[in-house]
Amino acid sequence: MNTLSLQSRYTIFASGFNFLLLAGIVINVVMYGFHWLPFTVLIAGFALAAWMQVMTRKWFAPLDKLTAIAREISQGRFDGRVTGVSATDEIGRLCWNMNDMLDQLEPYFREVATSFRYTSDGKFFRQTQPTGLHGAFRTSLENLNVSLDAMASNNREQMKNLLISMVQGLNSRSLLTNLASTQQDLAHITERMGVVVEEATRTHGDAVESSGKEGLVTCRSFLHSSLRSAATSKARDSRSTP
Amino acid sequence: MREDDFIVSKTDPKGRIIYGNRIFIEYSGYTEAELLGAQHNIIRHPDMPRAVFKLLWDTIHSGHECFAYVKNMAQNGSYYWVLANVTPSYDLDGRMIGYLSVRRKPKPEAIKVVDGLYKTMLAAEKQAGARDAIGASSKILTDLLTAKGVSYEEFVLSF
Repeated sequence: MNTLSLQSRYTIFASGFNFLLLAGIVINVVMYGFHWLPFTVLIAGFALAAWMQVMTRKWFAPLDKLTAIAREISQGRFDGRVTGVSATDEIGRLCWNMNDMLDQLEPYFREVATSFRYTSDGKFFRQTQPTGLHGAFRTSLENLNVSLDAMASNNREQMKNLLISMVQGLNSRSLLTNLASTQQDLAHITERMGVVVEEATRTHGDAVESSGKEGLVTCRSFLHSSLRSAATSKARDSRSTP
Repeated sequence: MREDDFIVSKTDPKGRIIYGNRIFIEYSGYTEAELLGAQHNIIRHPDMPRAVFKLLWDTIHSGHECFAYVKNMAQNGSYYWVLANVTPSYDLDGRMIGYLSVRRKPKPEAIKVVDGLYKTMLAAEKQAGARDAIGASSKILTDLLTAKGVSYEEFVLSF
């Protein structure tokens, strides 16, 4: 008996009760003959007990649904709901409270999943929406938003650092290029200096060589000018002598 | 809408209501029996531009969540503003089995902006005629977003 469901236990009791009522009706009629009043009362009792069986079946029906939903919750699934139940009886209230619980759980986990998905895509504006959630669900999402803010500002900081290091990279790359071109320039200058030195040495040689020539030239121009002045004075003499 | 409550409803993939919480029943003014099986547009307010619902359905059909400010109409003709968040639901095999809609109390400053925007969009829809209505009012929305330089989601969550 203890292994049977509540519904089955109730059915056994109710069926036993109905059987006894039915036996009562039969015994009454057989022993005392047919009388309207006791017959009607007993028939009404039988009908009532039968109707009770139908009704309890209906009242207990959401329990199966509740069991299934509770099992789903323990499996981490929150999409079940119980519909079409009275809001006033005990089982109905239990169902609506179960629905209310799921209405907190399901949006909570969706909010967490969605805002994390957005955040990992770099979209930091998708904060969780704590409005309408209660107690720990709400504070948890509010705390999560603080963390998301921190992640966003970390990300900004990281981006800033990345940019700075990229700029620095650019700088050091151009520094290297600059150094290379300076080195090239220096090599070029050294090369040029070599040419200059060569040129200077040659010029120097030429100069030494040419200083002799220059003496000759000076000598020649001196001789030339002496000859010219001698010729001039001779001409003057010849003119002054009649 | 109250700050510590939200309306929760579920629909099948065709948009028929399969669940509404007690807050939904309270605000809509319908009984649970009237809501179950009805199309979700049972609570649509005539002031809502069609383009907003088009955007909403297009977004959730593509498997993404969608936020939208929605003016809903109760059975008695009164209205209430919500910030709706609609997400697709999947079964264990990954098949889409319907949508979950969570509707929260929107910030008053958001309603002020969105009410004006929707009025302009609705006027554009009426002017453009049934065939071009959605295109005309979508353009108003996209122009606004372009001017602000934000995505639709950023705009909705910016309040």
